[in-house]
Amino acid sequence: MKLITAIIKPFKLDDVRNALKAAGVEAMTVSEVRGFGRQGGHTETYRGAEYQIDFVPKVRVEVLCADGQNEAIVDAIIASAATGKIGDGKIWVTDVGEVVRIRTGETGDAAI
Amino acid sequence: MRRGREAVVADTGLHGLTLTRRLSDQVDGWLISLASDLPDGWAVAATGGYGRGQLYPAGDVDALLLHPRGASATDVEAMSRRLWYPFWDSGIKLSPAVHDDRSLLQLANAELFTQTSLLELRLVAGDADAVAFVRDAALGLWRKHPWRWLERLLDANRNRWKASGDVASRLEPNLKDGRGGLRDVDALRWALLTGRADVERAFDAPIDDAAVAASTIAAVRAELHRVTGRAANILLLQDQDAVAAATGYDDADQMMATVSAAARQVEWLSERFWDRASRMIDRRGRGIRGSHGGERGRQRIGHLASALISRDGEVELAASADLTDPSLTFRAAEAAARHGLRLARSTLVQLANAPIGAGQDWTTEMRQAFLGMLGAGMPLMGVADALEHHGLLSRFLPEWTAVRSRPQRNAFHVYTVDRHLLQTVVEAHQLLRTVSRPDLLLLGALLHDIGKGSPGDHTEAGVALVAPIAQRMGFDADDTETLRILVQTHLLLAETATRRDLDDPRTAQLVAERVGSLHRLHLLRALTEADSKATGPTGWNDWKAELINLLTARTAECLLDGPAPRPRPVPPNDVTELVDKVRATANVQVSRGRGAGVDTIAVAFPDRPGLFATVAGSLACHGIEVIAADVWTTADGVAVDQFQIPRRTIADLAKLQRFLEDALDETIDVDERVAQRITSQTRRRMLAAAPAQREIVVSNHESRSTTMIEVRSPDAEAVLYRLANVLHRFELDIVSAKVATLGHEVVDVFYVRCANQRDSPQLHESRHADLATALSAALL
Repeated sequence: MKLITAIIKPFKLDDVRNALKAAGVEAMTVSEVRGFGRQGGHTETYRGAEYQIDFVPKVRVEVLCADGQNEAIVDAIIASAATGKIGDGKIWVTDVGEVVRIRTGETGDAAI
Repeated sequence: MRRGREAVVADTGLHGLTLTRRLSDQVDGWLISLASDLPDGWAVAATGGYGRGQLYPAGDVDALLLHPRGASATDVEAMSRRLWYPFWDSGIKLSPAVHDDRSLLQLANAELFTQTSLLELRLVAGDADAVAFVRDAALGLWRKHPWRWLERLLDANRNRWKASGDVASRLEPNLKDGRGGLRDVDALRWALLTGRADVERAFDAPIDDAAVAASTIAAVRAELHRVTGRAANILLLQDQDAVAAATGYDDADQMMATVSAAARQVEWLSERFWDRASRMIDRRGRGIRGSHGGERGRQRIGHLASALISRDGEVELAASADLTDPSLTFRAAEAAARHGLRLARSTLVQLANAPIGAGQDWTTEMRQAFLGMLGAGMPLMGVADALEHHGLLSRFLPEWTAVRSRPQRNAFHVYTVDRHLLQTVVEAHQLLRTVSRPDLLLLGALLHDIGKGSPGDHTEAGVALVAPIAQRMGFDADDTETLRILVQTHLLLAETATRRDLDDPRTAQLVAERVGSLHRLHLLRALTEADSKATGPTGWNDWKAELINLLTARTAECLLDGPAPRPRPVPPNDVTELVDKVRATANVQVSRGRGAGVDTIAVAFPDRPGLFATVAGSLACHGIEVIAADVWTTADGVAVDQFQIPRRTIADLAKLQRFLEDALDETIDVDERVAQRITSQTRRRMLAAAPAQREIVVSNHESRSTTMIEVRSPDAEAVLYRLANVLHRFELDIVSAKVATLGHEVVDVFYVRCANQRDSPQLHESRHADLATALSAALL
């Protein structure tokens, strides 16, 4: 099993969710996060005052999937989240040792 | 027993207090049967809600086994087993207590809720004298130290209110413990059991008023227990449809509106009582007593404003008050909100009975007092509730009726529509210094969801409603349009910031096109934050704030080249005649006109430096309050200063013209006259609960062609003149000026240009600090 974690631009969330649904993903976890990568922070001016944005608002999407499904899901996220500009985000895939559905006690692929 | 209980609960012919009474009677029957051979001196009694003959379908049975002093532990245990085990075996929730009279009264003397439970002790079986003795002794303890018990009761109330919020405006209310809920009615009843005349006087309405409202809430709570099968007190969204159907309402919205109205009634009575009681408790604590042992001997009376006095923490009408004055309601409300007082019930009744029609056009005084009330922050809540309890808010704002107690059935909102709107105004109070027109921010906050009382899309409905409201209040066309745009776009920043690509220049450009000006963008940014915070705990966070700030900053860039608010290149047609007269006579000319809810006065004269300050000073010398000002200069050098002033403030125009002639000839020293007036007109002002702080902003970032100066200061004499004088010293031409008075604070916004530097019209940033210092000094 794999855990796919994607950091995307907030306005791309609807597109990514639709793409994941189309790819057969039935469950995901979404969080509002802040951070920076190569895009770094930047300075904005409002009402004459400059303020530094050190951490850029992003959305984190997490999807659990069975081995073998991760490539299609990653492709779906890339296709739906890309704008071609800096700050589009990142995706990483990690191995998962075990998954348990709390309500039923099912484990492994059955719990996804 | 279980089947018997289930049969009663399943009887759909029983509702509300009839159901709770039947359940109580049923338990009485069981206990009487179980205690049929109690020895002398032993009794079974009902306490708590059961003591009042009210048992909810999933509620606990609070029962007491009272035994004689010295009864053997074996006997007590045997009797307890006989009485209690059948309940537990049947799965009926029972909270039993076993005491003799001494241990019970010792406990009651130390613990508030044991004490209150004994005040309504009811014999179920056994020795009636034993129960009567305990009840009378408990009542004696209660009456012996009434202030101590009332103070504890008030503390318990406050903790409960803090933990549970209020019933009327919560979308998922706690029917029992929330403010305005059933426990509040219990607390009032217990307070009245002190039997003191002054306590009864503090409760200035029949207890039946609260009891009727409580029965409405109790009926819903009974069905909530029946529907969920649990001893639930919080009416969750997920249960509201089923409870509404079981209670006989058409739908959940109707039920929630009815519960809200009932809770408002309880809250109204409860708050007023406890406010008065707390002052009485406080005085007792400080050893102050009235001349006859009551409170009337110590009433403190103070002057608040014209026709308004404060008496013992409440705003009352003076004997001289003119009840036909439409501004009286909001002036009283503003005074209450600003000074942290309550509106006296007698005042509210007088105002409600005043011969004033609903929905009429507002006067300037009404509008200013209303905005002052809105700008008071948290005290607004209590004052607005008090007004609307007597229909006084919707008298002047009939559109409010449709949103009053209106539920919003979604996962984000916590409050009913009316409470959300007021909460938004309160949140906006924290942001008033981020905008140059706090009056429009407050009103935009109050009206942004006003369309939720109408069918269809709430934004579209709100847009249709807001323009007539603004016109009725006397706002001019520009301000009306700003309010319309605020209502129309109140979701724009939040939606765009999270759903559109902020790095795409078109995103900010599209927002800029819809908002139209920087000044409106600042208002919208503040409204967005206030609205989000007033929605609920998940409405606003740093993540959302950062996205919205980013969008706002980028939109502001797009709007920098736009016009400053209200500069007009040529005088309007209505002063053309005035300009022609100046050309013909080279003398100062004055005319009076009428705008929406205001009078206007225009002064024309060949342009020269410092003209605006001289005219503003002349108006100040005549006690004329300026609401807004515009300035133009024709190509051939005739300057026109036009001022909006409250209606009916100029008695003698010719006298004003003569004064202006002398002032411009320098026959009169305006400086000296203004100084005299400032000294002589030290008004009788009570200190506001939160005095305004002075703040001055000088910015070249609001427009590329002008410098903006925003001055906030406590209301005072001749503020406009004093500021204009400084601007003249700095050789700055005033392009436009807007003066807003918001309760105890004035906000003056000037857009200025350097008089002699047309190529670089903005004041160089190196001089901003000096200007701010000079302006500040002028206001001291």
